Amino acid sequence: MKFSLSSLAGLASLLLAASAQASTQDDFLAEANAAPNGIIKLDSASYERLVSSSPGSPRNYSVTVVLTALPEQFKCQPCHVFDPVYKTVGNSWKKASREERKDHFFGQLDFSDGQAVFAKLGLQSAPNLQYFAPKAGPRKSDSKQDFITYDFSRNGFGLEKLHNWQSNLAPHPFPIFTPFNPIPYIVIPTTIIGGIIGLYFASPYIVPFIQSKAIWQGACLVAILIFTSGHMWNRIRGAPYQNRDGSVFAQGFSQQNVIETQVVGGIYGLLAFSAVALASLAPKMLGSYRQRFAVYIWIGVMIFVFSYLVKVFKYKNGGYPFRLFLG
Amino acid sequence: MSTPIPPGPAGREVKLAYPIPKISKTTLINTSALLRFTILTVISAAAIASRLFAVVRHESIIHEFDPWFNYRASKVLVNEGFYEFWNWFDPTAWYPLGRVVGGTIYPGLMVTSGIIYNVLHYLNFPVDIRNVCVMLAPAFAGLTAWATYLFTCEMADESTGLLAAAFMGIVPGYISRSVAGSYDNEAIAIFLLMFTFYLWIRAAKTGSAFYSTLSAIFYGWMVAAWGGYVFITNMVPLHVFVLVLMGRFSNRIYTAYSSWYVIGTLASMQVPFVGFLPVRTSEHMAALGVFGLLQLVAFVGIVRRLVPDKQFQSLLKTFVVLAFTVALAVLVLLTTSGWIAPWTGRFYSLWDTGYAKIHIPIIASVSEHQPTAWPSFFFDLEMLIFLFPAGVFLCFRELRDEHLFIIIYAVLSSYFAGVMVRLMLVITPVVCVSAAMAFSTLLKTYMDPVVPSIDMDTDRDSVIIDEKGEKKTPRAYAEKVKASKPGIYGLDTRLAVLTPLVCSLVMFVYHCTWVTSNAYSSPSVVLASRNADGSPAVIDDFRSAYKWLRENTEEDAVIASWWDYGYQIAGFSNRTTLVDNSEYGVTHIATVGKIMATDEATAYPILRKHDVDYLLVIFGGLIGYSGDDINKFLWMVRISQGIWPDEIQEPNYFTPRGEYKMDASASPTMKNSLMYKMSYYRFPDLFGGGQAVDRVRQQVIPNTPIELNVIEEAFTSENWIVRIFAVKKEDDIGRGLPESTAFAKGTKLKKSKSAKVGGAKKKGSQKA
Repeated sequence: MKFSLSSLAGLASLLLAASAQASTQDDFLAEANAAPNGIIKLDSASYERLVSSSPGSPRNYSVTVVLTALPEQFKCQPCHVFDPVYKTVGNSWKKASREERKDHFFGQLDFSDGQAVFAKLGLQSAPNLQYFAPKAGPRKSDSKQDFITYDFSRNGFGLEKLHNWQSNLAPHPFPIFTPFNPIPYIVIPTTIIGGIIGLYFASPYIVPFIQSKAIWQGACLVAILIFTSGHMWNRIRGAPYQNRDGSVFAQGFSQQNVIETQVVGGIYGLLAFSAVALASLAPKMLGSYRQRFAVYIWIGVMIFVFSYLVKVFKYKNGGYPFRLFLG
Repeated sequence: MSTPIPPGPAGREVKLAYPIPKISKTTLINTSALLRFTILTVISAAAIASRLFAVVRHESIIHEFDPWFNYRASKVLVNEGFYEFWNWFDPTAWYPLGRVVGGTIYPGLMVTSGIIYNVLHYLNFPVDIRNVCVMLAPAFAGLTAWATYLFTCEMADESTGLLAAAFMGIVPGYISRSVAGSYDNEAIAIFLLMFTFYLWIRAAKTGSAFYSTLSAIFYGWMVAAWGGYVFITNMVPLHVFVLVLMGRFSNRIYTAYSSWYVIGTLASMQVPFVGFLPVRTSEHMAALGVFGLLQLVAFVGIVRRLVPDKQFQSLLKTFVVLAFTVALAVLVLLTTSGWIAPWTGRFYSLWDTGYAKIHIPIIASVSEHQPTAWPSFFFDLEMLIFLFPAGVFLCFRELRDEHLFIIIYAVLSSYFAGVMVRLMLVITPVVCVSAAMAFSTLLKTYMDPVVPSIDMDTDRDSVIIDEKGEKKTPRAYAEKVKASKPGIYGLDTRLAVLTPLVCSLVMFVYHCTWVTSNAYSSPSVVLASRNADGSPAVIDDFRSAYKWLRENTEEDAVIASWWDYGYQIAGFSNRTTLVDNSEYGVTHIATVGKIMATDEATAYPILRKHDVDYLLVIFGGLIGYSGDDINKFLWMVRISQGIWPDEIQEPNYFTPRGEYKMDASASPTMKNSLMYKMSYYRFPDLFGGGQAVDRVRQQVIPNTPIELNVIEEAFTSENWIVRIFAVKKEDDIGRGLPESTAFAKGTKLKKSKSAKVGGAKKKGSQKA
């Protein structure tokens, strides 16, 4: 008798827990419905309540939460970049049926409301995106980890990647919903037509420009100088502009600063120009004195700048055994 | 270098800056022909000789990673015949999948060396295939110098050609991929590239179908040899396109391009790996589009002859607009319907530089796919890098059809070389040609003994002062100015320029030799180092480890290592590997990454499922070899995270402060990973209680002994670079491996953690 009583009590407590869980779920569903993008605005307490799960009352819904810092004083640029993307995904989920929607919630916890949570998780930066898999039900996850973190450094802040990730984790895949925006349908054709008309009328002025040899020549040479002085490395690696102490050249053979590549590009340009001056301009000078003067100047420039280039290269590559006139 | 003496204007005496001996014209022509031949031979010899550092220092050995596979494939071709090679299925790679080799490689390299081998044997030269493979790259470098000479002769004159050939022969940018033993596709590809370009220029200049057919055949060979053929596929049509835009369309261009495109495309489609790509991918659409455009332009030309001028203009306009719209619509339609693959993968990642990092971490992880910092340009090209734009400038001055080719090539390749280090190879030929044009113009200008006939600074009659007191040039003198040729006056001016130029050439030679000797001549399977007293020493850990594998393991043993070492294990040890360098399956590579990145309990079932017998890691911490697996470890984590994002997470491998560290502060995930355990197993013991310093990362490794339960150390090479661990089989009487290990050691089994690990493992092994 005693045994069955205790088991009954256990059953009752389970039921109670389940109903408590159900009421939390309904509360949040109502909140999600009221929120403009289906994203529940959280603070530390409601965050804990939303993601809480215990063996007694396992969480039977999944949650995506962004931990962000939107207010101006935090100066969180990425947070603002990510905000509209996240809202779009939240809004897209809002189009799902009510029954499905109670299995997944979108939340947003701002640093100003949830410092306790940030402190507890040891987060030093924002935004962070967490996904809590359900602990009960058909989509139950056995993972030991509480949540999965969306990797921003890998995936970036793009909508497509985020939606893809979220759509696979949601109860069922859902399409991106973008509210109809008529402006591009007006602006784009107008711009194209306007552009064509503009080009047609401006063609007498543009055509000589396009056909000018000097312009193409300049553009090609500048492009070559830019690319051979390591510009693409700067773009891909996001090189710093200069060293912290303001000096130009970065230490190490495979490191460089932006200003460094500009200096090197300038050096290449100067050397190339001195070669052109010696090969092409000096012979056309018609007086022996001025020609001599020009030749000595440019060969001097060439030797000096080349020596400097070798010196810089020796600084970059410590083992380089050669030097010219400069240390 | 021979400078032809310009004949003076008839009847007028030419002033010379220095006397020149009187030589008859015939002698001059004969001597210069002999000189040209001798110089070219010497350049080729220098090109070959400067690539032999590695052979002289070590021995005739295949280098690096990919060449090992090429060598193995060549052996199959030579020993078992062409058809066996064509249908070769390699069951020992990508275990248990195997790899269809015949259809997934560019066979040009192996076929080339196979032909050379057979010809030599036919002539009764009993040469080993290994020596053919080792010497192939230097031999073709000699040919490249010759092709560069021919190409440059089309651009300028013979003396410039010789200078360009000399540059090309010894420039480090090309040597880096063509030293003896570097038996890779690039070894023959650069020769084919230059020769195809030379033939194309010949064809475009002469309008000869013969030359364009030859060009197409060499293009076909190039397609069979190297994936970089796409550069030619786009370069030639672009040249034609620019010519058409500039109004330089002619029947010569039409003949040359039409025959080149048709024959070249058919030739390229014979390579099984390429197959129908030329009609189905966006990379090849430019060539097809220009082919269509040329037909249209030619058609319009015919119509123009038949229709009155006024109607023709309106006809032309409608026609151009219509053709363009239709072509674009068809292209878009075919692309969206999936008939033509859009720009993808490697080639696309050249334009959208962020693409590879996100979509194809396999490609982004390879060091030769990184962007190029400026010191690399100077390192590989030295002074040529700034003479290069000067040469392009001079091309603009004359701007013949073939000069446009140089200009387009220069701009495109400098972009590509900036995006990817390995494409330095593509820019090098054009840099050599263009720099040679600048340098040779300089030399010729300042060697020319002819002094200009007028000198406004000394001629008294150059200036008169007219009635108003203003300086003026008299009319008679102005005519003299018009007739005079530009030139250099003083002997001192000549010497002032020529001396530094010659010195810079000498310095260039020293630079190239130093770079080749120090940077590009390491076989990377054998490392050169120095003893404490400065005498040279050889670190031969790789070969001793591979030898150990070959001699001490079962013939069908499966070795798991990071993919870099797959080809070498197959080539040296002849053992089955899980992954190798062919970038064939991301999932497989990610599996190996996961094995390395997880703890023993998680890794063991995976190891057993893949029948892995041995694990091989490269560890440089003892002697400071920085190219080891721990430095590549983050890529393993990233790649496996791409497949199992919920199990492997990159941030877990960093310290709480976000640092990548191996010392006491390393994260628990890092310390439990198989990679960490295998690398540092017994490492602190070497230091006898002192601080165990990892020399690569300069960090102190904690002294707590690392326990291995599911694997055991099998072999560690002399300098600890290669460590091989054997994977234990399941315990005979059903215990978990930690229990049996503990039992064997005689220690008391602790109940807590290891028991749990054992339980998890049993579950896993049952599944297997």
